[in-house]
Amino acid sequence: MKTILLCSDGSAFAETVYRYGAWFALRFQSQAKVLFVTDIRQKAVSTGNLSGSLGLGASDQLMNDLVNLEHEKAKLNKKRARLILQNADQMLKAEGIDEVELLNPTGFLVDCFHDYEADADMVVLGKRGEAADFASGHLGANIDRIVRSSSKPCLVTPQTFAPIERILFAYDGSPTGKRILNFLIENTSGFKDIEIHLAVVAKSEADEGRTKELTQAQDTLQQAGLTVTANLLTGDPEKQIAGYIEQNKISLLLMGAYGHRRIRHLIIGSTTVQLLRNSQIPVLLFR
Amino acid sequence: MNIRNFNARAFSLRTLKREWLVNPKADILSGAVVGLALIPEAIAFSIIAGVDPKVGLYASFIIAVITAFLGGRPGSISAATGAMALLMIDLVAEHGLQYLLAATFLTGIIQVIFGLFKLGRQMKFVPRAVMIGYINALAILIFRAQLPQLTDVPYTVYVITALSLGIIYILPRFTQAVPSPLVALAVMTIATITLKLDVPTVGEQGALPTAPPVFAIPQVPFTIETLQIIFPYSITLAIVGLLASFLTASLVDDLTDTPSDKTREAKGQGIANIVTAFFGGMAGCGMIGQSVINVQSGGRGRLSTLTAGIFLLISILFLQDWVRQMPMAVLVAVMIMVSIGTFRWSSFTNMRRVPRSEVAVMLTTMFVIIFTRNFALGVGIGIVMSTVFFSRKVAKLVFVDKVLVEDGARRMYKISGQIFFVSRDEFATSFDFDEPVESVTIDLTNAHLWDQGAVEVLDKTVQKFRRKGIEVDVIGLNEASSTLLNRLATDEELIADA
Repeated sequence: MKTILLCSDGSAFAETVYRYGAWFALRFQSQAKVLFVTDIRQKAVSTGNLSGSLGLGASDQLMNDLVNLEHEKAKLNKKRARLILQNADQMLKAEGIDEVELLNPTGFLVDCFHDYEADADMVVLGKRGEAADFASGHLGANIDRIVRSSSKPCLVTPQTFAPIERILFAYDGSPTGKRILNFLIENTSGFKDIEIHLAVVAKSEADEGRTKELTQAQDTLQQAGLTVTANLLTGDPEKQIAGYIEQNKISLLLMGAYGHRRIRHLIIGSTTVQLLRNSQIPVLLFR
Repeated sequence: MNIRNFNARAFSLRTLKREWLVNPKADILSGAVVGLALIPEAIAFSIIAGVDPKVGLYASFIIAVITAFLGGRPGSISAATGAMALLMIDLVAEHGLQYLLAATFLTGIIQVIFGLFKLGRQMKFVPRAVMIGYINALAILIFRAQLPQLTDVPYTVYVITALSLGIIYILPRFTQAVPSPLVALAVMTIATITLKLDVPTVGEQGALPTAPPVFAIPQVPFTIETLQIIFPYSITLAIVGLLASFLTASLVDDLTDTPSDKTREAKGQGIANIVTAFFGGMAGCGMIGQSVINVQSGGRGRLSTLTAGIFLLISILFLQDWVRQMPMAVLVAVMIMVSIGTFRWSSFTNMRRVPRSEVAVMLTTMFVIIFTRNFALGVGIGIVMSTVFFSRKVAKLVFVDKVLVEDGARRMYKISGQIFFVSRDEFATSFDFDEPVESVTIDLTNAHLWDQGAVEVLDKTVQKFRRKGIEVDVIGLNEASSTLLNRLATDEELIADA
């Protein structure tokens, strides 16, 4: 991994985004890019004048008013963006990252995102953002769209940071699952000292296909030199995975963003959404 | 379904959402302000055109609603306008409403064609001075169209007009929460009814809408004669309508610092006019004054335009009994406000600072439009004048540097500037053919030959030198100039040089 893109919005979640970003960047000697998008909607200012009356030189007057209003507002927005990015820079430098690039485009995150995502190898973003109320169990407005439109692995971080010691890899044998396998193998150096728990959820113990998938994946990972614990879980995937995370003090979950069915390609898989909502640990989603 | 497809659609959905739902609250509020303000204007413009008020009101409703969806400039307001109404007067007087509807339909078709040919891009050929002249003329014509309402009328009309103007201009100093023209309308209408004043009212000017517009095909014979009657009007209406709409669009672009799609705007205006024709409405276009009011009131998205149209129709249907009794005098006051708001006062206060040629263009455009009432003619003359002035200015920028070298045996002419039909004389007179030199070098490194005239004059210069027994060397031609020279020059040596 060469570049990690950290999406920030200056909210309480941003700090965790930086810390997880830093963790990965340090492990893989990657460059960290911090993206803060100044929302274009903030531009719509109002003069509060509903008089509907036009004086002499009305449009010139209005132009001046709008320019002045927007000037003040834009100045504040710029200042805010600068502070947020400075803060990100300081935090990342304090974590020991030397290469930090700060990006501050204006527009909509979802639109700008593609331009910046293209040359990144991983995207880190908070589970919720500044606009979200603090009732946990909800996802931020941008998450779904970002994850859906991104072709890169997306790390969705919770509100608090905890060092990553044990990873759970929820494997389902799908092409996405294979891609996660490849990701681990390609980045073995960073995962060497970390316990990797490989889990396959099956309907019953006797599911031979699933058991085979599990052993195959386990072999592949072990051959790459990783420490792997393999488990075949039975029952409802959401509950099983959530329970496993709890029992084994897992600190990072790796999984595909989408379910198997074709229609599910349009939205994040329901299992994924449930896990994202309820989990207290970061989830690395693959497409 | 292909994922990429889905993303493409998701993107357009996003654009849609952005254009419609940027700030719904402010959009609906400002749309309401504009919608109500459109009522007196639509009535006044119908009266200018010589048709029933309902023609303008239906047009304003339909044009606003359709441009809300199809226009290229979110947040701008289009409806029945003064510029268009002024062009229809003769057609209505001579042939009646049905021909106006047919002309409106044809106007829409022409505008859609203009849109398909991406004519919006050619707007750059309309200089600012012409635009300002156009706007000023429009303001003055709207003002002048009010004068018949103020001649040979009882003195109460003047009192009502003056009081309305007072309310319109003084009320905003105390509160900007309510539209002052509407307050003027309400107060004056109630005053007229309660005091039983005998003044001309809107109801006397013709039919008002009593129901939403219904579909009907214009009742004209579908013959070449009809086309011959309506075409001249339609083409002028189409050009003027697009000009006004583009002008409005760029104004809103400037005010909101966001871009617009001029091609889409042309098509949107065209379709709006086509539909309007089938619902008994007159042709319309973008409205400068109302768009300024819309932005001033906080309107930015398409929702504001849609709200304006719907609000206009609903309020006219609910308030028709009141609207009927509205005194014309207060309408006149509103229109005076519109004309004052439209007028670019700064173009007169700035006059000393603006280049004289541009002032001349602005004034010429303005007066031609005022006296001929033909916006297309005025703008055309303005464009021609600007072009001539501009080419003259560029032509003056031809500099010739003469250096005598090789002990007076060779003369170097270093030419810089644009050589074309206007500057050829400046070019030709800078050479001295009777000088006793052996050879001449014409250095064109900093010059550009633009047309046949330029090549011809260079050709003649070279020939003239050679006739005097002087060798000529042309150097430093840039690629474009030498290509042109190769194609057009007649002098053999000159071609060899190029």
